[in-house]
Amino acid sequence: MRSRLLTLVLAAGLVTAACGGAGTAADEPGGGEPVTIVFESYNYGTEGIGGEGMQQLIDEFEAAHPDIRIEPKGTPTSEIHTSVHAQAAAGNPPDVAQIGWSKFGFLLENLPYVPIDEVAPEGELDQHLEGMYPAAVELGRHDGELAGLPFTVSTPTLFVNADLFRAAGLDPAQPPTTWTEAKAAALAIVGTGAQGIFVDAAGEAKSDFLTQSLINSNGGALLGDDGSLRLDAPESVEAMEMLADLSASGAQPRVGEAEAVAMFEAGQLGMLITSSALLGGLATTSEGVFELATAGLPAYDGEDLAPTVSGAGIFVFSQDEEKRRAAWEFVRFATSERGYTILASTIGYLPLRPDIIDDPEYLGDFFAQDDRLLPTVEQLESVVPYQVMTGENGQQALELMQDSAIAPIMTSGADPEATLTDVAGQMRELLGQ
Amino acid sequence: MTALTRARPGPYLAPALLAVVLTVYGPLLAVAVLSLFDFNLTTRPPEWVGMANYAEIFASPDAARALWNTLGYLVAILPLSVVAPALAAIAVWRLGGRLVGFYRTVFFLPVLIPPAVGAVMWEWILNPVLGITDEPLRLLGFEPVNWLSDGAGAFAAVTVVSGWKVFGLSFILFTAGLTTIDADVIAAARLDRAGEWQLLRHIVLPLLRPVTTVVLFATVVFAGPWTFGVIDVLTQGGPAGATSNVYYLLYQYGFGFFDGGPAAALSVLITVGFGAIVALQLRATR
Repeated sequence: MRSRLLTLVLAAGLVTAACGGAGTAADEPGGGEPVTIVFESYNYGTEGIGGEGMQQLIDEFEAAHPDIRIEPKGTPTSEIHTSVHAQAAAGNPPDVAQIGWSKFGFLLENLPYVPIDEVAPEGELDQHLEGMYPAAVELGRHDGELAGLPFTVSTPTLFVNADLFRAAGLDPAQPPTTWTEAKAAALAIVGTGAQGIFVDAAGEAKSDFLTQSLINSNGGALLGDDGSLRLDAPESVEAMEMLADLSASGAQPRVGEAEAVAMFEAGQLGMLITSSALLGGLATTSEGVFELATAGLPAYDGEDLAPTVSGAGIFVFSQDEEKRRAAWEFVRFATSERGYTILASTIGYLPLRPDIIDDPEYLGDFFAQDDRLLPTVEQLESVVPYQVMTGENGQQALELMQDSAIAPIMTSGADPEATLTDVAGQMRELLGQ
Repeated sequence: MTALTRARPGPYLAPALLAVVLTVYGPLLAVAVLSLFDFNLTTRPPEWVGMANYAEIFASPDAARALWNTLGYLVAILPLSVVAPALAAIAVWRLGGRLVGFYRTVFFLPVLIPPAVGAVMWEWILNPVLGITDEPLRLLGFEPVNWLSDGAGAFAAVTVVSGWKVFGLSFILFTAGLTTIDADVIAAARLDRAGEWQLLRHIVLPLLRPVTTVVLFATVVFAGPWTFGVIDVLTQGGPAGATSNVYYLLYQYGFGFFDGGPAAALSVLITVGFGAIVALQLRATR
């Protein structure tokens, strides 16, 4: 009786959505007509380089595959996993979607993805993965299953306003390599009347890639080997104390991500530490405003650098066989030598196939003309895997950490040790630890 | 036919009743049932959990904070949604003259600005580095305030921006109320040598009571939804939940984490809670 009632309730609630989700004739595969697949992306449709780069990827794919048409759909980074979820709940998920690694736990728990092992025809997957950074491939693997492929991947990058460096008596060719040097440089820039440094650790995308990168680089880890949360471990607290100190000393303005990026673009901020994915956009907006330089993530004194990645994987949700085959063709192209070349040269994502970096057919000429992506490529050697908080409340725990610990420590003067202890306790409850 | 209509209004009411049942009471009932299950609409089939979702909400520090903030907004927004618009409407009404239309337009204009656009505009106004709020504070000898990153500052910012949006609507309602005051009543009071204060205290404010009740009622019921859009754009409930309210928390549970059970339970609690407040209010103003 109870299940019948629930079925009725669910059915009533989903009637509208189901009606809206009915496929159109153009979606029907077969009959010699091109197969249309929906591709949901957070780069697609955005103004500037990101949108243009993704459009180029789609255009080139369609030109090479006249039998497949891509119906792109743009959704903001922080909403794409919930958008896919809502569509999946209505029985009509996109065929392919670009979903951030920071939402990977949510995806594993809530989204009806089709593992790449099942999407790719027999024998094609191993051949395709050859030449790709093995560590990058592992990003999308969970419990032995390849949930998705690495698509738009980036690492933390230090963007430098070379003009402000010179005005402060600093050498932009020698950017800071440690946080101590970064703070000193920032304070020198503040002395000229500009703003010093901004670490984009609590951005609007609710990604914890910089949180993890900082903790890892201070000898810690967000999760222990047994999966237990280590946010309040001494290494983590010390890592976040650096962020708090930057703000308290005046080296870092107490602003949000959007304001900081706007300040940097306006030439009023000396250093911005964020994803290398912003390179293409910043290279364009800084033209005629200031000279843009790049460097790798600064290290903690005496510690080895251990950044993790940000960005997204590409995942398949098609249930229909024909669309699934088309989806595989698109995923294969998007993560091919040519796909990574487009993503790296236009937007600033990492070329995840090392052979294409020097190859004149791919990125050889690009890097010869503009080497500002190189620091992040070189950083790939020290990259450690992104740690995923899985489980029903993993995403909630992640957002709690970003909103209630990292953001207040950075911008509101919250005490790192007390805050991390308190928030870690709440997160453990959510994670069932 | 007329007699039939009088005797059997059912068929005529049926379409409206059906629409209300399908769009209001049906979903309400569905949510009440769903609040007893754990589900995520996709990979996890609904699982009966009884009152566990309610227990989760009652034990959640986020929910407690959101509830207090909801009540806080309700009280904090009253000066901007009731007192200030009433005074402004009375001032413009007493002022009279050719500028009345101009003032009415100026005060009403913010209502026409879409909430998200208004919030983005305020985001830049309140920016501690690029904004324009710090200079006046400095001139007055105060330290600059990081409005959106400080808990109290962010709460004040959300209140002011939400109040700024609804001020114009209340102003127009009070203006409409003032036009219903019979000029003869005012003239009679003047004949009795009533001064401006006495006129306001004993004539205008009592006659504005019905409008004041409506505006007060609207504030109590809608303060939460009014602040929702502003919270979403300006603070996303932060810093550390300082600006979240029950509506924003519900949105996060339902559409951020797709934690359907607790979201449904919170919906039921909001409906029951505000239903009780509205019932009390109706009783008090009867």
